[in-house]
Amino acid sequence: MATPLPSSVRSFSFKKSLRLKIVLVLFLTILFSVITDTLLNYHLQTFLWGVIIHLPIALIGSLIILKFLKPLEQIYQGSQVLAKGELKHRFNIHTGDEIQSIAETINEMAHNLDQTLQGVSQNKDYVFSEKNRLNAVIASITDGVIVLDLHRNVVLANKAAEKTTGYSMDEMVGKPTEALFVFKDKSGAIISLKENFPVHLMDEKSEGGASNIVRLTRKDGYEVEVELTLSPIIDSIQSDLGGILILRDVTQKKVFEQMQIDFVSMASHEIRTPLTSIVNYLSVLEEETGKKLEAEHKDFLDRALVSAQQLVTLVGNLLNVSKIERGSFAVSLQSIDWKKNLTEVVENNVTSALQKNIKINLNLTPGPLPKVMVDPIRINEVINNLISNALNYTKEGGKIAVSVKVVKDELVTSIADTGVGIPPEAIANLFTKFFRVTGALQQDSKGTGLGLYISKSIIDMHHGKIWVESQVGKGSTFYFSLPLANPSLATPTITKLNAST
Amino acid sequence: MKDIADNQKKILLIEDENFIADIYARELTKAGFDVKIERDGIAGAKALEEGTFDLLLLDIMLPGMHGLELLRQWKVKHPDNQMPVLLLTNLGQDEVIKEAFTLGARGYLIKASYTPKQIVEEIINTIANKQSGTQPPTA
Repeated sequence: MATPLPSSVRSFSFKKSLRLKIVLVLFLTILFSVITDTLLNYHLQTFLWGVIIHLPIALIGSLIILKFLKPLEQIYQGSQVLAKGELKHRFNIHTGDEIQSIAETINEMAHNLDQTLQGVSQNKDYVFSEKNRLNAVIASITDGVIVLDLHRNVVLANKAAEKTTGYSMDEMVGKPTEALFVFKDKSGAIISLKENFPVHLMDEKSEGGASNIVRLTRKDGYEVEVELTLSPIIDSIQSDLGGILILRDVTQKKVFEQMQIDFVSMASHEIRTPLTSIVNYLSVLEEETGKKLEAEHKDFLDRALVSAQQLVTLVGNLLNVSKIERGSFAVSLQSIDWKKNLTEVVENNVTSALQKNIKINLNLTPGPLPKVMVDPIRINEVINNLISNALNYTKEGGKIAVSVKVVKDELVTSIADTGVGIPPEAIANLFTKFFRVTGALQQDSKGTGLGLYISKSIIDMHHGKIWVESQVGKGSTFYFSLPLANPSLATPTITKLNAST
Repeated sequence: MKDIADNQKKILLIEDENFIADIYARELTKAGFDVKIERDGIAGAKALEEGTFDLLLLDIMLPGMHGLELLRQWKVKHPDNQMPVLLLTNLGQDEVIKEAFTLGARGYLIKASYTPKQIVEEIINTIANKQSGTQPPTA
């Protein structure tokens, strides 16, 4: 390919050569005509006349030719401008001949070229903006996206992929997946990407979108559980892209979703942690030094321990209320021997009753009781709560009586105390959340306002009823009923409390 | 308690809260146990692989590796190992409890609701139950 001459040189060659050549040829033609004429006539005088006559003709001819050449020169110079890229330049030639046609054709070419280039420039901007958009989209995908070439080398990885795998994009790019990631199945066996996820374009075995829960060993050695999806890139024209790995970190998702840990649950956990230390250290301190302490100091220690344990109960209650509100509070019903269960729960409360010098009696009629369908853990929470309330609101020397009887197709259990009693106006709200009786009861009250609400929720889930009879100054009796087990429904069932109740 | 001291039982305690780990270790040592403490999931899993223990006392919310995950991995690797596992946590979700038992935990204790003395009693009972069973002791 010839190197183009500088435009100045080309311009010079046009002016000096073509124009001069034409003029020179004209002169030479006339000169030859004169010489030929003279030679034919053998007269020097005739020659001189010939020169005198032919010279103006030659000059006029030259001028005509030069005028004729001007638009051609214009085209030449204009084409130089166009060649420099100034595609808006147009020729303004109106000679009415072929030169005008050439000029117009060049004008049209220049126009078309200009339009095409503008289109290309717009396309370039579009491609750039599309690329940026694509990058922004890939970067903001919360799942890890890793693009692989046909040899399973990493071409691109987004932020989420960096976070999930622990590798930076620079560390990943250009390396084969085998050198970076170890994927294992649930049994711990290593999964080969090569065997399980072919990336080859034309590989008919490639199945896009298949996802598996696998374990990925991160760069730092920690294992995370990921939902791995590999989609082959099928329509990658003129590229060596083989496939896309999508890593969805399900470790957290699994942990949190499966356990339905909500804010209250987490808060309970966080509160319980330091509380555990308080209860633990106080209990050890009391155990080991209690007897050596002065009575007053031992009392301080006891009060601190009792308060800490109340806080433990409160947190547990809040957790239960949160479950009730979310509708995730469930009971797993099974047929149990109510007499045996009640006896155990009452016995567990005897020590606390004795500490307060309160007598606790279990009044049972001889003979077996019909079976009831209950969730023992939950129903025992109810009994414990009712006994604990009775202990709290009964003065020293008082009595608590736990009784049970069959009424129609229900088993009714009652917990009666000789305590302060509940004012009639308070009874209606007694089983609502955070309700606390004001007045005399409040002074010694240790309740949280949640125990009876939770108890009612538990009884509701057992399709039973809970109610109270009370006389201020004489005491209260709490009752709850449980439907007798239907022999045809002897298989354990799980019922959930409707969140709306 | 004395016969346990004579034949010192090894307990692996995986617990990230120092105060809690310390008091449990103190009470268990006092009760005659040989206690090894690990304070995160990864170190706990490693200790479990490297040593032999008579009981694992395992917290659930652990840095490095979730307690249930640690238990799952260990059970996968050693399906026949009969070492009793007591989960010790303050997470009270039914789902967690269910999962713990599915994974073969022997017991589940809400830390805040138990005094160290009660925890020691639970451990003694758990080990005693294990030995009264028909399963031969594992190596």
